[in-house]
Amino acid sequence: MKYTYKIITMFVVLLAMSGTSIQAQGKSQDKVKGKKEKLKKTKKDVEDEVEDYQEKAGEIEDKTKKVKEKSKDRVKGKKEKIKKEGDDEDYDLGDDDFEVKEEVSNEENGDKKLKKEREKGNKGNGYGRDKGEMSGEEFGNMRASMAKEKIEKSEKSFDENEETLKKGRVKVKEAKERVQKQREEEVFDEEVLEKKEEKIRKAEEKLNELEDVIKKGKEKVKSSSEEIEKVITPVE
Amino acid sequence: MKTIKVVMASILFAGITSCGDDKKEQEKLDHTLDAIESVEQDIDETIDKVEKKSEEVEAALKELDNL
Repeated sequence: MKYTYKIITMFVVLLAMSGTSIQAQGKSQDKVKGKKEKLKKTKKDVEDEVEDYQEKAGEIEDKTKKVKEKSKDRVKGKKEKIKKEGDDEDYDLGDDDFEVKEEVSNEENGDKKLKKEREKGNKGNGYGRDKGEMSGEEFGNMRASMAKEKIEKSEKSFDENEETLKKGRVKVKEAKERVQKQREEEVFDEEVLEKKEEKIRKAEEKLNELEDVIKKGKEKVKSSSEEIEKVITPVE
Repeated sequence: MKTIKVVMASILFAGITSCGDDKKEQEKLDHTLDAIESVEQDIDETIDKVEKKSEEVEAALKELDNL
């Protein structure tokens, strides 16, 4: 009787234990199933988002292509207009033609600027704001020294253009003397001589403009240089 | 127990202070970079202007060769 009681108790205990383990297994299987479903759902969401972004990117690309084509057509049209309407010599062109010419060059310059900006954007560490493993101060100083290099480069460009200015002044002086001589010798008609003088005047005007731009540029670079010096802090 | 509390408090204080310093440093760096970028942009524009004008001058001077 005593053994029978013991056997029954053990059987009940074993039964209870096996029941718990089955329940636990069931629970863990449910959990895994749930996780799998969640994973599937997340995967689907991500795929949907990627598809959306791809569609958007495609749309943007199409738009960019259209805008590029349009601007190309416009530039082409304007160039043809200039070719048709304009004379070979600039002083024969009307004011409207000058505007069209300027617009064309502005659009071309716009394209160049865009390219430059894109290039700048791709230059990464040096031009961006990702300082990598450098400290803020070190990175700031590095960028400042890069700006200083740019300033030096601009100063060189000013020197070169000043040389062009000097040579231009000499050329204008020589041209004036030549035309004066031609007038005295009566080699050409007065009309031809006037056209030549107009060319000289135009060149002189451009030289004056260049001188002015260089002067202003130098002032700007000087103030920029001072600003950079203010920004730089010594690294300890 | 008291010692642990003191140590924990000092760690927390150090953490908060370092976070504040990082933020300040980042702000300072951003300010510096803004200034540098604006200077660089000014210089680029100036150089472009000078180069463009120089090209115009060269074209005008070329016309004088044929006089």
